[in-house]
Amino acid sequence: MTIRVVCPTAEDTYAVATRLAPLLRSGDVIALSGPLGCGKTLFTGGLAAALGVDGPVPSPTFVLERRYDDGFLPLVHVDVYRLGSYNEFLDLGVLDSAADGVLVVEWGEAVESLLPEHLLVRFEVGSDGERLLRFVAPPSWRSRPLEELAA
Amino acid sequence: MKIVAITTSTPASSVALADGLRVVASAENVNARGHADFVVAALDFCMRTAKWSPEEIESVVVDVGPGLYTGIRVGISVAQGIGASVGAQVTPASSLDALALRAATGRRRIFPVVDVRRGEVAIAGYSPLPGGVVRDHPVELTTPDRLVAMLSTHREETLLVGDVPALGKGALAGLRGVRVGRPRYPTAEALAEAGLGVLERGEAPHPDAVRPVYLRDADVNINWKRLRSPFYADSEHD
Repeated sequence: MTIRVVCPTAEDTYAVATRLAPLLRSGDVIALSGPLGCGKTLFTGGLAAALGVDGPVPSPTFVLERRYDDGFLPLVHVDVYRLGSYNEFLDLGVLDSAADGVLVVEWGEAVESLLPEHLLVRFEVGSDGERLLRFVAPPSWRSRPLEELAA
Repeated sequence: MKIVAITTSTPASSVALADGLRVVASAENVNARGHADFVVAALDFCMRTAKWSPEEIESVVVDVGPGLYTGIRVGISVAQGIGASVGAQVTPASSLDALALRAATGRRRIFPVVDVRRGEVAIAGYSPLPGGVVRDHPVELTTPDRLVAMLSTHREETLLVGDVPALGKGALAGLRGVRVGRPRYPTAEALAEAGLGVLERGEAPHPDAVRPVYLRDADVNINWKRLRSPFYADSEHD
């Protein structure tokens, strides 16, 4: 199942993420895919805020991994942009350390075959700066009302 | 030979000091998140109990998995740290070997189970021998369903050890000839024994070459040239 949402502004991208948060469950994996500056970290910030995480969600590009334990579900935010191999991703250990919460992987398509069933969010930047977000859900997400994202 | 053994591949962390096959100190703790906190304190405790000084350590046997990635990396880091600081060998050993070595059977085929999370387990098969076991089914990742399907085709009597509860409640219902036994988690003293075999065969690698057993395509390089191309997104769509 694929849902498309047009986000004219950064606030819209953030708001879509807050609508996704209530649909999440422990063990979920979300891969974010799109060019630099398309809003992947902003999106994760919206998710975190809606999960009840207190405080900012800075980019994990240089620290690779940030974990937030103060929300309704633990949130693990990683960025694989600086990694060179599957080995380095596995070395992060997030596949098991995030099993009790939600794992968000920026540039997740780079390690897609290592990820368990996951929601793929593709970000596309239009010529006028608007973002097109496509949510590609795996079969196991069928019972979740993803159409609410477009509301 | 003075050996320090460390296993952190499961929720149980365990450290042991052994002189050959004789264990002189050990400590164990079950906490899926507390590997790093436990291991260093436990080593300190064991070293003081046994009155060993660090220079005496000849080899560090470390559990390289399969198992929990985070835990395994803690164990390997500590082992390599000891190796680098006192010049001890670092010997990799398998969590599954350590489990099979402590399975109490003289005739059943042994299948240890290690939980790797997200619905998968690692297994291997062993046959008991006088004084030990021999691995005769390779280490592999599988799901509880596939494991049960495989066991249902086996004719020989089987003993499942390790984290069998990770297979789920009632997963083994209807299987014939399959028993469940202990231990649930590998212990450092069993790991020391498994590592001793590696050491006696002279198979200890360079300390830096000791790596976790991930059982996934870990050696693949990420194709960033393609992924970062401005045309990538277009080519991938519809």
